[in-house]
This record gives sequence, structure tokens and C-alpha cells, in this order.
Amino acid sequence: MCVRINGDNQPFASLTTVAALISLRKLRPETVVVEHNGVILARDKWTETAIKENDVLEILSFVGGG
Amino acid sequence: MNSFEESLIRVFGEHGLRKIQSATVGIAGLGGLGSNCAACLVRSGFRKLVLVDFDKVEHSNLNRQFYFLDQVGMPKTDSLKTNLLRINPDLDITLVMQKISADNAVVIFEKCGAVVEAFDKAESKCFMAEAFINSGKLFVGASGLAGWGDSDTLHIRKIKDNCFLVGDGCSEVTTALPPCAPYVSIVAAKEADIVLSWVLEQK
Repeated sequence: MCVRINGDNQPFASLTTVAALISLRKLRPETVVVEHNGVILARDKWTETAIKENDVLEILSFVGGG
Repeated sequence: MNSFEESLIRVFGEHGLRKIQSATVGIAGLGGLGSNCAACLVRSGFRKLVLVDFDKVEHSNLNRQFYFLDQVGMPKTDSLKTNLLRINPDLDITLVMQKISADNAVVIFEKCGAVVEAFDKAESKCFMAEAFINSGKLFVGASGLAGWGDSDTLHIRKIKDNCFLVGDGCSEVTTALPPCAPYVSIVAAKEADIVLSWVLEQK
């Protein structure tokens, strides 16, 4: 299946969840914002949210400093 | 309109300056990003600012933040207002000296058309993005501004028409990689430039 992540179409071999995707990318959940199909996805929903064909994800990852 | 503002008509035209002067910009955090971004905005003619920070000026801030040695120990809100008024004495500044959280962010910046995230902690940057990315306001955040050298890595990522992130995306501030004036100022100036161009593009 194909999923659009941060503006790029990315192929996925199998179904996965938002939580698994964040883990795969080795991101710290508390420093990440996920928008799923135009809606901000609360962190406690990541585990139960399956990524489906043609989903659009924006993953914003922050590092400290200002 | 004072003489400084009159001189800005040559830069932006009367119509452009009117847009700038009627915009209200909120700045969350008045450290290296927020204080320098505010200075850029005021030099560009912005008058209406909501400036939020609970902290006081420390010696360790002076390597990159828009404060002076005699302001150490004073609230950043009051100090920044003083400094900005020296650029333009006719500003309409709202100071909020309190900690911003996921619970109060939307209310604090309610009257702002644009919100600049200028926090230190990644977790705080997150709740600001979550609060404003779909708010209809312009949201400008920052991530990755520690260190020095090869400053062309500091770039703008457009998330959507009203949401932008500035920085290299990876250089986290640590003891080994501290925040310094050039990098921090570049990111702050890019944040201000996004606000300026967005306001000028509004009908």
C-alpha cells in the first residue's frame, strides 16, 4: 500500500499503526506531533490508529532549543 | 504615525504598512528566538504584539538574546518591551508573564492572527503545534538551531499554507552543542520573515 508522509508517497509492505511508524523512525513520542488525514492525532490514539491505503500523514518532530 | 513609521512607507508602501500595523502577532517564549524575532518584526513596522514568557533575564542569555547586562534579573517581558519601544515608541504590546501550557495557549493568543513558537523545550513546541496547526492562524515553529557553521542548513519547511517550521530539524541544544547568536538569530529572522511575507500577502 501507499501512504503520503510529509508530502512524499511512501510504499508500505504491510498494515501498521501510527505508534509502530513513530517507533520505526526512532522518534521520541513526546517530541512528535502527528497529523492524520488533516486532524491532529492525540498521542494516546497512536497505538489504536491503523495506517490505511492513501492516508496522509504529517509528522512533525521537534528538538529542543530556542 | 511617527517619523520611523513614516520612513517605512518607502519600504512597504502605505497599503503594505497598513496591513503590517493592523496585524497582531503572538510570540510564545522570549528567549533567543522570541526576543530577536520580536525585534525583526518591530523594525518591519509591526505594532501589535502579544509577548509571553514567565522567565527573568540571566547572564547566560546575553550571548544570543535581545537583552542587556543591566537587565539581568528583570522579567523578560518588561525588558523586551523596553528594548522594543526604543525602536518604535508607539507600540501596542500586551505582556503575559506566565507559563504557557496546552490548556491556556489558545486563550492567550486568541486575538493574534499569527503565532510564533519560540520555546526552548521540544515538548512545549509540540503542544503549540498541536494547538495552532489547524487554527486558521499562521503558525511558525522552530526546531534545530544549536551550534555554528554551515548555516545554510537552517531552512524553512512548509507544512501547509499557514504552518511553517524553521531550523535544521536535528541540531538539539546540549552542553556540547550550545545555542549561539548567529544560528539563533538566523532562525528568529526567518520566523519573522515568514510572518512579514504572510501578512503582506493577505488581502
